[in-house]
Order: sequence, then C-alpha cells, then structure tokens
Amino acid sequence: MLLDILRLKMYFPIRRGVLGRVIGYVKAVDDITFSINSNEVYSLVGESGSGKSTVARCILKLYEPTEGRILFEGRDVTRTRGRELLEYRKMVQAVFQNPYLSLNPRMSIADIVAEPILEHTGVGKDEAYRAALELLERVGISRELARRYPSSLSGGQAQRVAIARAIALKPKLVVLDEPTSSLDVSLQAQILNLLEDLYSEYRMSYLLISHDLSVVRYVSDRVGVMYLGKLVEEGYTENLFENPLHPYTQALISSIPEPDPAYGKLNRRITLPGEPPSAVSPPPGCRLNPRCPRFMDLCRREEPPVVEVEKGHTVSCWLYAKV
Amino acid sequence: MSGTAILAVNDLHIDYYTFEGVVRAVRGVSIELCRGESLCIVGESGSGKSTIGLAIVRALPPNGIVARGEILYNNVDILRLSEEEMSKRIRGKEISIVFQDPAATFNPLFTIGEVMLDVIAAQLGVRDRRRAYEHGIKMLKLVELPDPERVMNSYPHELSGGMLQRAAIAVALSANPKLLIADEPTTMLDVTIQAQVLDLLKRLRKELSLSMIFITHNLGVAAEVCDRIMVLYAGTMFEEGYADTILTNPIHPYTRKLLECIPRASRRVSRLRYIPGSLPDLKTPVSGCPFEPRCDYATKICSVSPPLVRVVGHRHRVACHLAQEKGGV
Repeated sequence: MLLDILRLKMYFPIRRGVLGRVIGYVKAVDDITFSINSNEVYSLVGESGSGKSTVARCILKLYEPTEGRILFEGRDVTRTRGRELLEYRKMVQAVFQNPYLSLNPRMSIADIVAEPILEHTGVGKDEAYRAALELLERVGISRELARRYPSSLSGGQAQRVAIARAIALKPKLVVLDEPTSSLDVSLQAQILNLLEDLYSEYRMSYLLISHDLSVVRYVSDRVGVMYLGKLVEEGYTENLFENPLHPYTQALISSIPEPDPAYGKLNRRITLPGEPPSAVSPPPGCRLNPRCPRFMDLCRREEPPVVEVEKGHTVSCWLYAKV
Repeated sequence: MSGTAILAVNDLHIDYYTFEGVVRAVRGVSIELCRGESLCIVGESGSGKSTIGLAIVRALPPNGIVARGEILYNNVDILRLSEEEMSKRIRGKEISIVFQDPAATFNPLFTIGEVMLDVIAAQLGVRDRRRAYEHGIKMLKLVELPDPERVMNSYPHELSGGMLQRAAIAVALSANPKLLIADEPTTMLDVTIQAQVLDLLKRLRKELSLSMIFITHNLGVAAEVCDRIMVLYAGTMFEEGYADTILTNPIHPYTRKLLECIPRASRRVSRLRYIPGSLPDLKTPVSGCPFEPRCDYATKICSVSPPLVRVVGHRHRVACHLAQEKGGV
C-alpha cells in the first residue's frame, strides 16, 4: 500500500457569538477508510458537499484531521511536522482545478517549475532550470513560453504548467482535484492523455477527485463513491460502472447525459428526489435514506455496515447486508 | 422561410468592440426554429453561442453591436423595434431567458418573492398584490419547488443552486412566453440535480408548448433535451440537423472530432482523441474556414475561401468544402 486512510474524520466547528462558542460541526468527512496502491489511479467521486475535496486536503496536509490516521508507505504521517513534513511534501504533490489561482502571477513559468527543484533537491541553479525546461517541454510548453508569465497562458497551457510543477520532484502520489473541470472538451482530452502518459512514465499514483464520472471511468483503476461525508461504495472501475450496487451510485451513473441517442433510449434513469441534506445534521442511519428509492425502515434506524459483494467491490447499504 | 417558424435568424453578425480590437464573435449565423421545437446551440468557449442568445433578447452588453443580419420573431424583425417596444411587448412576454448562474439572476438584497412580484407587476400588469402573489405561488409550484410560500420569503443565498435555478425558471416563465432561451442552465449543478432540472424543462416544454433555444457546451445534455442541434465554432455555424443525425452521423470534421473527444461513462475507450491546436483569435480576420489550421482534411481551398452552407439531407446543413464528397446525402 502506498497510502492508507484509516477512519478519517474531518469536522469543521461552527462558531457563534463574540466568544466563538462552538454550536455544532460540519461533518465534512465522517469515518472514511480506503487505500491507494502504488502505480494506481484511484478516484473519489461525489457531488458538491460530499467531502471528496476535504479528503484530498487532509492527504495534502492542508487540514489537520479531527480523527483517524493517514499512513504513507506504512508510516503514520497524520501529525507529521518540520523536516518530516518537507520529505512528505516531496512525495505528495497536487494539481488543482483553477491553474490561474495555483500559479503565482509574479513568477515566470520557468521560475514556477524550477522553484520546487531548487527548494527541495539542493541542485545548482543552472541544473534546476535545465530540468525545469525539460519538464515543460515534456508537458508541451515551449522554451519561448517558459519565459512568460501565467497571465499570458491559455487555460490548457496553464494546467500543463501546474502538472509540470507537480511532477518536478518525481512524487509518488499526485492529488488531482478536478484537474479538467474548467477546460473545454477538446482541451480536456489533451490533458487527460498527458496525465495518462506521465503516469506510466513516472510510475506514480494518482488520487483523482472529480464530479465527472465520464472522466473517472476513462482514467481510474479503482473508484470510491462519496455521499455526504461517507464512502458508500468502492470497487474496480469496470465492476463499479457495469454493476453499481448502491442506490446512490446507480442514480449518479444513470444521471450522466450521454451524447448518444441510443443510450438515452436504453438506459432507464433513476432520479433521486430532493437534494443532499446539510452535513451539519445528517440524517440518522444511512445518509441517503430520505432520498433513497429503495428505502427500508432499517435504513433510518441504523447505519449500514460495509459489505464486500465481490472481490474488491464493497458497498455500504442494507440491501446487501445479511441481517 | 416556412410559415411555422417562430424564430428566424438570418445572417447574423455580432462584433464586440474592445481595447484590443474588434472581436468578431458571431459571423453570419442563421437559425430557423419551428413552433414547439427545441434547438441546441453547442460550442466550446468563445464560439459565440451565448452572444446569439443575448442578441435574441436584445441584451448584448453596450460594446456588443449587431453589425448585420435580422432576427425575425413571428416575422417581425426585433432588431428594428425600439427598446420600449422590446421591453413592453417582447422581453418576458414572448421571449424569456434563463442564465447559467441563477445567483446572478436574483438580487441578493431582495427575496425571491419580491423579484417575482416585480416581474409579474411589470410584465402582466397585475397591480393587485394578492393576485400577483397567488400567480407567483402557482409558478413556483409549476417548477416543482417544495414549500413555495417559504421560497417566496427566502433570499437567494438561502436556497441551493438547484432550487434557485428552478426559481429563475419560474420567474422567466411567469409572463407566459412562447420562446425560452436557456443559456447553460444546468452547467453549475451537480449531475443528479442537473437530471432533475432537465426533466423539468422537458416537461414544461410539453405542457406550455414552449419553443426553446438551449445553449450548452455539453453534447450529452444536448442529446437529452433537444430535437435539433447546431454546432458553432469561432462564431460560425458548422453543422445543424436533427439531434440523432448530428450525434450518430455527423459530417463536419469538427463535429466528428468533438464527439470523439468526449469520454463516455457508458463505455471505456483506450485512448481519447483530441483536437490539436487551439481556437483561433477572433480579432484577426480569417479568409478561409476557421477550423482549417486544426482540420485533418484541410485542402488548399479551405485556407482561401470560407465554406458555403450546404444542405446535405433533410434539414441537415453543413458548412464544409468537403461536405458533398465525404458525407453525401
């Protein structure tokens, strides 16, 4: 295992009044366990508010989790600080949705990619810049462009620079948080192909955070589905898409509009009524129960256990639990 | 033009005047929309699709100028109407628009009810507050908003994106327009909520016999809601036809490429195709086909003269020099 997430919880306190009294918690991530193997693409999918980005931020150590542990190559990094944290950051890098926000507008493209190399590896300036230009060339940014600043790049180019920076230190894990969501489809395809090539060249792992199931199906080895802070289903990509078990996964997959008239006629859509409730006071029992088309009385009373239905395919739903 | 067309746009050209130069955003687009029909305008960012939508309700920003062309609504050129006639007779009552970001539709300082009652008073001339309120509630029920009384008293930030978009649709439809322009109405919503809103729009179209122009970048959404699809690139119409034809048997190289770019959730492909290069700069004039630098099939003529629109089948039009040779009828 490269990364193990064990019973991770991330609660954000809600404060009121001059004294900042805590009146409740947003349970953004509530008891999640999963692992990422080396050289694997693992995707977390879910809708807004499902907690997928919060998980990513805990892994990137931008948040200190409320409870639970994060193991990287077997070592506990949950509370890592100082030198050890620097070492961890070398191995875990990130690419975010909006490249214009994640690239410093006052640095040239070459500076942006050379910085982590200078900072973390102790090589000389010349060598760092040579490496940076090579990386940029690899992701399709010319030397000409490398002298410019992020504002003169198109969205697709800026995302390429962000990718070059992320892989500059040859990390073992790259967290991709909606990396193509702000791009047009023709550009999205270019970036996805680039990510796929780099993945096999560098033998890294990816954690992809996405709301776009079509993208997820295209790139992932395994997928975890999140709903309101919980991991409701996990499995190998093909199993999960061909045989979704959780009613939420079924609804999610059947909701994707496909540019294929035949598909629309064959595929029966499962629509969930209403909208996800607030993560401050999630419903008791299974979190989907107020919207679930296959609701049973038990679902309101008790939280469903995690059941392994086929090898590597787990679901957290009473329909599959042997009571 | 056939008699049943509710909207006919002929040879529309729209320019934006900016400090960097004149952006030729729309370059000779023609649309024919029959009564009760829904047309999707599909294109990537900068293709001009939203500009066309804004022009139809005459809401272009001040630097956006219609350089040429006509927009006939029931045979009346709305570009020739005065602003007063436009707001009195057309906007809201005949043609209405829903935007991508419902939060921008509403003023954060007013409740949904206040906005609705204003619109109802202005467009339907209902002065009686009681009656206006009842009409508002009826509209909110029509878009399946639970607890309409509470929604009326809510401020925009108190509603979720999906609920707010439903409310925006209710406002847009409150004066009973015949033509609805929906500009990326589900782009900001989650997929399961998007599915709900698309179902709603489909139902409303039938019930109210609305004609619809749906603007989107998502061909999947287009397949879902539209009878016909128009593909736009750099302000130019490339292909138009029935949705089934465009999606399963496209002729224009750009349409074909675009469909190949899209990853599908229903099956896994081993490698995504992509379109090399990037969109042309709309400030520089093009002598030939705007897609020529990125097209695999480009020949000499493509860089020299702009392709004419050819009819290649029943209500299927393509603007490509190679259309006849490659596609046939």
